Amino acid sequence: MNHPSFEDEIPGECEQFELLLQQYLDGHLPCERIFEGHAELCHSCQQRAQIAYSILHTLPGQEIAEFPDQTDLIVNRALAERSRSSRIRNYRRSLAAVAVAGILIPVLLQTFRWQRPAENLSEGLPTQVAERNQNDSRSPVEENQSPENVSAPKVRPIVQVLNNAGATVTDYSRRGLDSATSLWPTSEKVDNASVVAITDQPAAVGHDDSLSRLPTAVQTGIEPVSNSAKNAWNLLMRDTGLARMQKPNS
Amino acid sequence: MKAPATDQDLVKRCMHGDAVAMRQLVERFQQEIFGLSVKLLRHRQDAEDVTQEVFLRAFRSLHTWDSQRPLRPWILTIAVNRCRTLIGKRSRRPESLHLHEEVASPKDHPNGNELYSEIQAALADLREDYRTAFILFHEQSLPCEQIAASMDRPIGTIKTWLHRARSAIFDRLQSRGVVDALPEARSTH
Repeated sequence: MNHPSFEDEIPGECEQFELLLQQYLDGHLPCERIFEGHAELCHSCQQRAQIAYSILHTLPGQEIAEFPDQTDLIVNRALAERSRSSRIRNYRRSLAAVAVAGILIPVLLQTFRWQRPAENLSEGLPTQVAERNQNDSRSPVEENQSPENVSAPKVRPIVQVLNNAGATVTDYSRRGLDSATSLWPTSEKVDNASVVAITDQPAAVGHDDSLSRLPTAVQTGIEPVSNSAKNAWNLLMRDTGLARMQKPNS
Repeated sequence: MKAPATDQDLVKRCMHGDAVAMRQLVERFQQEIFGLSVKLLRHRQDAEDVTQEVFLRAFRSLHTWDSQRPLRPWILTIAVNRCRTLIGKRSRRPESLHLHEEVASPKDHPNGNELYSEIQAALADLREDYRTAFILFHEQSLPCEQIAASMDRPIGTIKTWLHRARSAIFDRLQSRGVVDALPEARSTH
């Protein structure tokens, strides 16, 4: 009679014995325990105890016959892989260094280049400097060869360099803003321009030196503009409402 | 006579690229790794490939090994994972693979080859998870905790798998009448 499989219902004592058998196979019970008691009465359980005993004494430490020695192959492959990965690591490091240098060098060059406009602006605008250089009889080559320029360049601390660069940028921006502001139309100019542009030309009242006969440039202080530009200006004035405020008879 | 180097020493030297230490490490474990691979894969060529791969992976990740723990279960875990990956690939492969049933023939054993062969045949019919758990426990003598870690399953699951694997093997051996051929255990224990 075969022992019922584990999944099926097992009679009480056989079930208990099955648990004992598992404990024995787990190494929690001595060998004697599975061959006494129920196993002495039940033939099927006795067979299972015999199998369990054989499994425990047959399987552990079984070595495979005809074992292939792959030591050399494995070590050579491991060493080759190691050197390859080392090469790749070095290559990546060099690449990273080049990339960092590629970023840092332009930044440093830019930082030191800021220093020059500072020196130039301290003597005037770049255009003025250029004019002065043109008027200067000495050639740049001669200048460079003069003894005062041969002296060794000064090494400045980075903080000073950055301060100079910042001051230069601020100064240059301020000068640019000033020159732009001087070109900006004042309210007086705008008023006059809008009057001239929008109203009709007043009729001469017998005065040859009437303001209306004067050129527009004299009236407005703005350079004469072409018709299309004038039209554009008029449209701008109308849209912004500046013209309406000054429009006569409104 | 010089005492064999400890696992920690070997690993430390291997991490510095010492070829001699690498050789020693391979020689120490390769037979066991190959045996386990053959039993799990039932294919010698695949087992050889897996053995190489296991050591290459081990050398690559030696820095992740916790030196407070034994090295053997760590390497066996790599082997189990590689074998399971290969078994998974095999199951998805359309062509059939001729698996060797006799690859794991034991060396001389008092109980003879018959029982061992029957056990191997019974194991071959088992589900892959049951077989792996059974082999790791009974043939590689790994504790359930280590098997659970290797197979990434709870200990309870491993114990259940072991229980089912044993019951299936008992049933098969009983039905094939192998038990009658066994020597009387009570007289030997």
